[in-house]
Amino acid sequence: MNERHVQEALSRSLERIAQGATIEDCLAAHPDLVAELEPLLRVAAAVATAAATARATEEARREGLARVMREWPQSRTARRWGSLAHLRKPIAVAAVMVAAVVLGGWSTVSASTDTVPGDTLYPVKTTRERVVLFFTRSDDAKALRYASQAEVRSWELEQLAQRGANDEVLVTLSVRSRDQAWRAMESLSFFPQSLEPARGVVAPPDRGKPAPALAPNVARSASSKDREAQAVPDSRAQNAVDRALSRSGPPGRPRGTLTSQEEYVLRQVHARLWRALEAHREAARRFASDLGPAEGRQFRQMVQQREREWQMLLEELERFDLSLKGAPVHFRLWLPEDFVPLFSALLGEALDRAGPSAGEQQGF
Amino acid sequence: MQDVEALARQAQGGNRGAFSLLYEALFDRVYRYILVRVGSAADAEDLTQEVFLRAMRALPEYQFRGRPFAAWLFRIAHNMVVDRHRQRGGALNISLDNAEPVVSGEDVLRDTLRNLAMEEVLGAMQRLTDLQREVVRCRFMAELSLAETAEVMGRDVNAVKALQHAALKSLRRELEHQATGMKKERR
Repeated sequence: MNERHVQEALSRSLERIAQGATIEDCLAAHPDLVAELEPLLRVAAAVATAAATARATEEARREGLARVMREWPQSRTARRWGSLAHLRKPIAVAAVMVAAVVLGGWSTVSASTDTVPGDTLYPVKTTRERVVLFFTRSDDAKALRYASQAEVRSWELEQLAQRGANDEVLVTLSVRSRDQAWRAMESLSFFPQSLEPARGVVAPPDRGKPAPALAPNVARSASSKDREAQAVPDSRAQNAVDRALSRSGPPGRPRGTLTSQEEYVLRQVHARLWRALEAHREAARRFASDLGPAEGRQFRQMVQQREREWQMLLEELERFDLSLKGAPVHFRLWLPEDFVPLFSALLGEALDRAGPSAGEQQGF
Repeated sequence: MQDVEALARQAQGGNRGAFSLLYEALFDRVYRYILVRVGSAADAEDLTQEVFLRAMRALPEYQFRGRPFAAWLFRIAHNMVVDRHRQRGGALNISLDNAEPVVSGEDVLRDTLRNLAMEEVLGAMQRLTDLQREVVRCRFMAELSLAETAEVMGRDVNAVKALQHAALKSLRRELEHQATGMKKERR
């Protein structure tokens, strides 16, 4: 009988300990059983503590996760919007913002497709003139937060902004409506060179009538500036961009039937990314040539990894759905699952910044 | 703390991010459970990866019948270990030489004692019955609840309570013997 009593007390105590109680708490609850109970609880604690020292290598953990993610059936992730229910805030992007990004020379950091949590952003700094940013997920949000707070805490970002096209990388920011787009852009006033052209593109919201998403003065003619903005590094990139555009289209319209406005915006987004990728490669090449053999090898591996991620981002962009019609402006960006938390965070910030005018996102 | 059941449902629905969170939450526990049964860190790492792969593949068919998801996962782990032992002829090597200890860096002595403790634990576990050993692995290494342990072992909860009691008593006895023995050696 006593055995049973001790067993029950033991079970209950272990349960409580698992929920955060101390051994002393448990003994206090069974004062008549302390002599039997205490050594057992201490042994249990010691075993658990000893076991906790056994951990797999980080490498093994990551490898395992990578294997699972590689095998994850694509068809399962096809129900994209359905599986976003767990996000705090919905994702909606204004084409207007993309136009601003594309035309405004705005430098920020792109999301990584790396599925391993815990990676850190680290700038590969040298005494040389170029700064190469290796981007990861968690610190992207941080980097953008710096920018969005108009407070550049990272000198690397500052360097990047001043440097111009060669080291720029692209991000797409999610906001709910043109109002917010406008307000978000105003908060970026520390990028003066980027804001002016953007102002030209995004007309301040006119409450009287529905304004076009892009201001009419953005001419559709193939001016030399336009051509420059749409230039891609090589023919492979050009083919990729053309292919992407042939697959893009707003909901309700057949793929590839973009208006010239839509095509204009999209071509620039793609070109931007390709140019940034090329610049990244070039900078990496130059940087690597100055490293010793071991460091150089490691660096090259990192670069290759980042480039693979970038490729995946580009592939994802092939599935744009672009809808430029009145306000609110929607454009749907098909994202790999891993991007979603980042964009949720970005959207959250943009919404916070722009105030409560947003209202709730409609279902897609 | 993440809700394992909720994550599992989302993962079954196709949410890859949810599965990766499950992976992060459960990986170490599965690893430990397997490690003390196969003895080699490298094998344990391989098998742990296989467990998650197998779970991912079987997830679409998994039915949430009110049973804990962790129990299902550890059942997979259990079966995998059994299969491995069958393949390898079952010589159980319980040395932890290859396991990577968590080195805090600050107190080397404490770390050494910690590692030593695991060896002691495993030595003491040799004296338990198979079932008692399994309970110890499930409850104190895999951190499974009573109900989950009962699921994994295919026994009822009362049986697990009794086994857990007996196991801890035996472990205590063994560890005391070992400690006394060590003290004698040191003199």
